Amino acid sequence: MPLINRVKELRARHQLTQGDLAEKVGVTRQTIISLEKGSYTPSLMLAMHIARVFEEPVESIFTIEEERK
Amino acid sequence: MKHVVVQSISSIILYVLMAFLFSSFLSDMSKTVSESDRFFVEFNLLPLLLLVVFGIVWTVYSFNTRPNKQLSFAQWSVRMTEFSEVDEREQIITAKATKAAYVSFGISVPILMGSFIFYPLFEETLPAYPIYALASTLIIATLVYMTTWIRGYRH
Repeated sequence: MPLINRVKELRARHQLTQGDLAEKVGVTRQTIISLEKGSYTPSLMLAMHIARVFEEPVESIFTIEEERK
Repeated sequence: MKHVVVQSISSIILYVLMAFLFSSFLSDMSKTVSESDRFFVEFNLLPLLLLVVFGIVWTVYSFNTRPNKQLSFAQWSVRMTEFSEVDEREQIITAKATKAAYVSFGISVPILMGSFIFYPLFEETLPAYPIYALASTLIIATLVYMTTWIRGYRH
């Protein structure tokens, strides 16, 4: 079950670069790139850090594809 | 990724130089001359010199470019320099690459053990074969680690 996310959309809305977001959540830019591509599933801790940056609940940013249908 | 590639290649060069040094010692020891009450041993110092020079340059470069700058020299020196675990994704990639390298030992070691059956046939032409065989297990594992890490990073 792939995890889909709205990180790219929210990052654009908050006018953050991949580097900015990476720095805010304490990962490398490459991790943000992989996350946006959907090739990396973040840990709960990273997901919560991202949710905190965007001030949105985790489940509104990360969704299991099956749940969406 | 550059860090892992540079450190893996450096480790491979180090293993090759070590194998060269020990095979050179082995060759020198077999040429040792014992004359009545005197015992002469001649060593070719070139492999040792190469290893020491490379070791110094590699240590200085690796310590200055270590991913985790908070590590002291004592802490850094007991770790494998190929490991890069800057964030959680790199930790996962490193774990996968380490597992792949471990599996490679399970394949390369039995093959090389089997090759020792034929060692008496070429012992005279290649007396340092056991040294190179051991070095090659490390080289294969390092290459597997590096390729798995690159593939995981680009994924």
